[in-house]
Formats: sequence, C-alpha cells, structure tokens
Amino acid sequence: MTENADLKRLEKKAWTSYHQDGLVDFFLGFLLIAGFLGYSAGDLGRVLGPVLQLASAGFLVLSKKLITVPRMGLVEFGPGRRARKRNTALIATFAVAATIVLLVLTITGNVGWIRDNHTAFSILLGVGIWLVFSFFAYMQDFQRLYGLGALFATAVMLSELLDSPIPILVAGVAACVSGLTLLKRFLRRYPLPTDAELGSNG
Amino acid sequence: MTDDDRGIESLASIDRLIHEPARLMIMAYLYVVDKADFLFLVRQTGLTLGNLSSHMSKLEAAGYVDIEKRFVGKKPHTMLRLTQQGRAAFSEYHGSMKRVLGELDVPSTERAEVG
Repeated sequence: MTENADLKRLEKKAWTSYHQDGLVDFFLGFLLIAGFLGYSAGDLGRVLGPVLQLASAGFLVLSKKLITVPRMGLVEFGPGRRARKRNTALIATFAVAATIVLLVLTITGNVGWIRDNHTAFSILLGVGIWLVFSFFAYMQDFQRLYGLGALFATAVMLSELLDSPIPILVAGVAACVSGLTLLKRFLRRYPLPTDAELGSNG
Repeated sequence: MTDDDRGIESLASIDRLIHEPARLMIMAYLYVVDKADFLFLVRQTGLTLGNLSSHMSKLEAAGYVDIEKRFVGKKPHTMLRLTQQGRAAFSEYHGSMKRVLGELDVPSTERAEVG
C-alpha cells in the first residue's frame, strides 16, 4: 500500500499542476455571466445566453490547448485517470441533459409544480448543483472546484429565491476575477519556452 | 543468498543508473504517467532542458526509456515513455530501496552523540 502512496502523490501533483491556470474558474464565471445576460436581456438574451455558454465551453477547450499545454508540456496520464475522465464526462452529460429538460419545462410553461414548491425547489437545485460540482472535484482531484461549486450553487439558489439575476452576476464576476488572477500568476510562473530553448525536443 | 537475507549489502547491487537523483526523478514521473514530453518533465522536475536531454540519452541507451520523435505541423515534438524494461527496473529499484531503508535502524541523536 505504502509502496504506491508516494507515487500516487507524485502523479496527483503532476495532475493538479494542470489546474493552476484559473481557466476553469474563468469558464464557470463566464457561464454565470452568460446566464445573467440570458435572463435579463429579454428575447435576445434567451438566444444570446445559451450561445455564449456553448461558446465558453469551446473557449475552455481551446485555451487549455493554446495556453496551458504549451507552458506545462504534453502528458498522457495512465488508465486510472482516463477512466475517471470518462465517468466525469458521463455525469457532465447527465447534468447538461437535466439542465436542458428544466429549461424546456420553463420555456413551455410546465413549471406549475416548481412555482408551488418554489423555496424547496430552489434549495434542492442549489444542493443538486453543489453535489454535481463536488463529484467533479472528487473525480478530478480538483480541490478548488468544491468552493467554485458552492459559489455557483449559492448564486443559482439565491437567484431563484429572490427572483433576481443579480446573485448570478455577482458570483460570475467573482469567479472570473479569481480565474484571471490565477491565470496571471500562472503565466508569470510558466512563461512560454522559446523554440531556441526547446531545440529539437519540442 | 537473496537480497532479503543480505540486508544493507544488497545496496551494492542497486541500479546505479536509476539511483542518480535527477534520473530517479525522471523515472518516477514517467512511471506514474503513460507518456510525456520534455517540457512536462522540465516543469515537474525543475531540471534544465540540457540536463534532462543528457540524462534521457543515458536512460534511452539502457533501454529504460523510449523516445518517440514526431512532427506536429512543422515543429518536431518528442514524447517519452518508460519501456517495459524501464518499468520493471524502476519497480525493482523502488522495492529494494524500501526494503533496505526499512531495515536500517537509525540511532537517535543522543546515542549518536554518546557514541
């Protein structure tokens, strides 16, 4: 057991070093701000919000490729990590599907049961969101995600309870600022290596 | 006589190629991942690229590391992975060191001072 304990720690250290870039924080913040726009910009917002949210997912993937990998290097982790990634993707798909179902119910006006139990629904929604984030945090060994999940869940819950998008905007801006601060530190700590430095070892 | 019976004497047969601190770090990192490039190892180990290249050549010559060169666009890119032989050697080294160091009874400071 102990034989692998230190090696597991080493692998975890390598894995978590890829989470120092703040991009996920910025992505989640942007998701919330897009949600705020979707809520408050009328008919245009109903289209703009989801479009921006989809675009931000693309932005996250692209920025990991263009910002993080050129600075941290390329690595393929072992089968254990790959299995965890698959499970996380499965739950993410389920969470997105559940969100779409809720959105469709809202758009089609089938929300009577939510209106009747609004407070309980809001709290349950918040708890559910935090549980999904916690699952991601656990599966990905990403400690900061517990806090981000709490921020995300609280914002959505308060927004439902107060019937106002302001908590979503505030949480979104906070997550974006946190992400940008981490990104700034990451860029300073890991400058882009020049071709001359890398030579033929790219 | 097996390594278990010999205790500290078995240190004499330890793999000295792996025993060097920089190479030990490289082997340990490559052991816990599937494959990685030079930059990943530079970031994780703190070694310079020149230093890393030199150690990598020795590990490759011993058959412990497989160096895969390919082009990404017009740029050369090198991926590194432990060979089966390298994995077995690291695992054996790890086990031997743990066994030997586990058997060593380090005297307390007081005993050392009196002695």
